[in-house]
Amino acid sequence: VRIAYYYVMDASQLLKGVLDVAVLAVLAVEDGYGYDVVRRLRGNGLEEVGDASVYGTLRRLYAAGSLTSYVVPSDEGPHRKYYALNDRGRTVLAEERKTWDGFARTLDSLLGLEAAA
Amino acid sequence: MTAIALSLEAATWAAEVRAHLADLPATDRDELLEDLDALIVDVEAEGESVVDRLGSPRDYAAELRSAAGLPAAGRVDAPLLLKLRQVIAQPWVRSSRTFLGELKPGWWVARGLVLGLLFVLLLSSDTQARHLPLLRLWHWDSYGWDWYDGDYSAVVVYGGSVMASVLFGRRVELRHPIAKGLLVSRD
Repeated sequence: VRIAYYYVMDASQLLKGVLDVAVLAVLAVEDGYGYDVVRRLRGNGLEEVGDASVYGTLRRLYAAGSLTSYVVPSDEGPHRKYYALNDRGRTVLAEERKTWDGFARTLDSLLGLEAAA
Repeated sequence: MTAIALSLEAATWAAEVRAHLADLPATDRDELLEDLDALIVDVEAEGESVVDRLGSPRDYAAELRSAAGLPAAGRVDAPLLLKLRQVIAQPWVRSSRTFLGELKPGWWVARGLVLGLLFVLLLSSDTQARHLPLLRLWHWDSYGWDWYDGDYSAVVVYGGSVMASVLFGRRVELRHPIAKGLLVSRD
């Protein structure tokens, strides 16, 4: 049963850790509602991202005070809730960008060790 | 906002998601579900089936909770279970349980005697044994209580059943019975 302890890394596992920063980055470009954020994340290469993950993340970022929201009524369907980055969200995004850059550099060099040896 | 027409499939799906979030506080649940109708409308507008695109209601609700940083379903103890755990954690319950635990061998012996009695009642054709099987070892006669000479069948039956009961009890005890695990409180 030892084999059960081996951890297979896949993209969806990685995504969980960085979804916050991905959502913030998308909203930094332009305000958006849930479905729109999902579409933009997928369009930019995160094809595996789940709708529920994005909606839940938006909710959490909003509760944490990184986002503001406003409702845009629609004539044809339900109203849409748009999310926008506020100052706090921009600060968080800047910090997470730094963390990510450092982490990516570290992992790049670790993965390069084998090639260099 | 105009009335929203969802397909029957979508309406059922949404109701099930709602049910899977029923244990959350109302504000959390309402906020999580606020955009659900809009999402479904968008999904159906693109000609996709809700289940194909969003998965099962259970999975969707679980992913939503986890991404929103809320506890997973079932992690919240039911009030009755919580109450039971609180009672079990009381010092007097703990000491009573310890005391009852110490009485266990006595209970095993008593259980063995009852089993032996049942065995005698079922198998014995002797009327006297049927009525007072425990007294099969002795009988009342003109000299008072007297030993049945040479009849040791009751010794064998009761001795055997008590020994079997004690051995069985010890065996179960050593294997950490399930009931014991259930009663240990999670603190």
